Amino acid sequence: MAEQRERWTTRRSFILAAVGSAVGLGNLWRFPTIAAQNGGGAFLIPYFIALVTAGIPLLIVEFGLGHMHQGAAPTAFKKANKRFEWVGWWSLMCSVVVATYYCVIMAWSLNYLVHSFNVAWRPPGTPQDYPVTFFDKEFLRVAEAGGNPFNLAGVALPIVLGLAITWIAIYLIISKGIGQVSKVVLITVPMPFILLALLFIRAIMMRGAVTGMDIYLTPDFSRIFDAKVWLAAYGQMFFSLSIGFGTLTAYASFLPKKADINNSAFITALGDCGTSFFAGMVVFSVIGFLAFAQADAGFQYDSIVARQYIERLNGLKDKDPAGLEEPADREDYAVLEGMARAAEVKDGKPAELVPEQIKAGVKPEHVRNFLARIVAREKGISVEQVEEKEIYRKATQITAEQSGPGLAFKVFPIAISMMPGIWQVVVGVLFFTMLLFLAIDSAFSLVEGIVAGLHDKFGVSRLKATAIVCALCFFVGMLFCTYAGLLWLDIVDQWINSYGLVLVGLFEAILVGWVIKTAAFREHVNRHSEIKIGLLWNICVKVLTPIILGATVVLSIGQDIKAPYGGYPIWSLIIGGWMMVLAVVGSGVLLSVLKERKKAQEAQAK
Amino acid sequence: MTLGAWVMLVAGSIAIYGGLIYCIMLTRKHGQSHEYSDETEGGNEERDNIQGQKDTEARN
Repeated sequence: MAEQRERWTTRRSFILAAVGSAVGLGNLWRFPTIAAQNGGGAFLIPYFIALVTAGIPLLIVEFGLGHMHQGAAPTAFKKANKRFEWVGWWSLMCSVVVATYYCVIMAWSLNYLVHSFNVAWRPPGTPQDYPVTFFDKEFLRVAEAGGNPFNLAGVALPIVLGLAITWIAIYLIISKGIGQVSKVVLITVPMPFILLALLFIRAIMMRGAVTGMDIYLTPDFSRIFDAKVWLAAYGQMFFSLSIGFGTLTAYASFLPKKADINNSAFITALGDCGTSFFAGMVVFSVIGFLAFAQADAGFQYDSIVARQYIERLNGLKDKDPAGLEEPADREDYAVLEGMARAAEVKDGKPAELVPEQIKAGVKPEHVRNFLARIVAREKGISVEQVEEKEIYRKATQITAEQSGPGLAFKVFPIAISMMPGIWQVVVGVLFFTMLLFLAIDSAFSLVEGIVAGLHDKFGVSRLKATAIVCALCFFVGMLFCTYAGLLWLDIVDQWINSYGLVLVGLFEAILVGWVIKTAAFREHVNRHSEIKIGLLWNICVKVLTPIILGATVVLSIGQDIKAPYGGYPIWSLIIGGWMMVLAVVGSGVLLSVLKERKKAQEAQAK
Repeated sequence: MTLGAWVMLVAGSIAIYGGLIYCIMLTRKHGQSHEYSDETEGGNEERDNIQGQKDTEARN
């Protein structure tokens, strides 16, 4: 008897699972910094246009293919057009590669969650930026690889342990089928939003948070005319929605025949955007607080401010300090003059308190207040305005320097370690729990795609397929647990995104836009949908999306030819980048030519 | 916050969250026409179990 396909038990489960798959770590650590670097609030305009013209149309393509052909990506592509089955397998192999390192990042989060209870990333008596040293030298120990990816140097055992726990969790969630996933997503998808909201309430009450929000949201409309900003918006939209992984196609294949496609795609896309937008508020509130806290500690003033300070003091040095306007100035002047000279010797670098000054009772806030007063007088503005500007400058600098994992594992730990008392533990636990919940749905959806694909074509039981994939990914993921793991992760991530997923998206758009009957596809997705798509969708899928994705690939190739990515040795880029992409495509082709089992054929025919 | 930041916060929220709420309201309005096993009859827990049994039988 032919096997009956599993089904989502409720529409809510399907939408939550799709939103959970789309929403991931990138929403937290990629979108906010890209927005701030590309026009702040003005970035929302190209981003929203990218959502309507590329994000939602491609989501409809993925959902529609899975639903129409009742199969994971390879089956769906094959039924759409026999020559495209290999693209389906290619997309699933991309998701397997991403799963191998995505789970390693989850293992980092798990370790950091444990470290949160004693704020291990900043032991007492260590400098403010110690969390950076902790992450690089104590946790990942990437320094021991000496910047050479081939020098694996050793394995970080706590990360391996975290990785094993992560893969066991994924196995337990998806091995029992879509019915189990339906139950799990009811908790794992809403949870990060609740935790984000709690973090936001705490973050927005901290000093400097509003300045952070200014950086995030103040629009610079001149940037809208910059083509790079538009490419960044389309790129972010594409990566954020998990397009090209084949997971959403697999999820849609478990939908009943009479199910909405278009509105589900709208909800998934808007849910993903809403998470990114909200996460940006949390991230920039914390960055604003961090900038304020560092300004408060008195070591942050940049060379321009330091020079102004030195010039001002040099202008005053011939005068009698007693002639200064305010008594506090007179008091500070004598102590700080020496510091100004020290700063001068250091080529305009910020002045730091020396032990003698600390013994003499000079506090960091003395330095800050003094500098602020001097600059305020020189510029004819208030001290508060000087402080605001300084926080703004520092926050902008943090945004420019740290995005991606650095934001979560360096900037946030620094900020957390500067919070008062018990808040360090509370916010640390909330933040890393939130990271884990954000990531888990995406992680198991990456595996679900390939499990469904193997089950559909080869008739491998779900339990067996899940066990094989999880075990294989765990062992491959060990590479990213070595001391050179971060370097490999960076290379593989760059190539799989630039050449793996983007090309899959391009092929998808070509398949639906030009190879199959677009009108029939549109009629299918419109049949039970609450929102009907029309000519605009055709234009987006046939013309706009292929042009944008094609331009992205061409630009990536141009950049990689111009200079080796990240300054890595060329052989590491060939092996971890080009050969990995070739292996992914090759295995896709190989899996597509293998014969399917008779039982699976019957199920597909049904 | 600057006026520009406030404007973008409000406009972005209306576009994204307003759109999301509108789409969710549409699902409430038209949801009855879709055929999900748990949305036609009986309690959720019971139907999950039935579905689970069906899956197990199918696998075996």
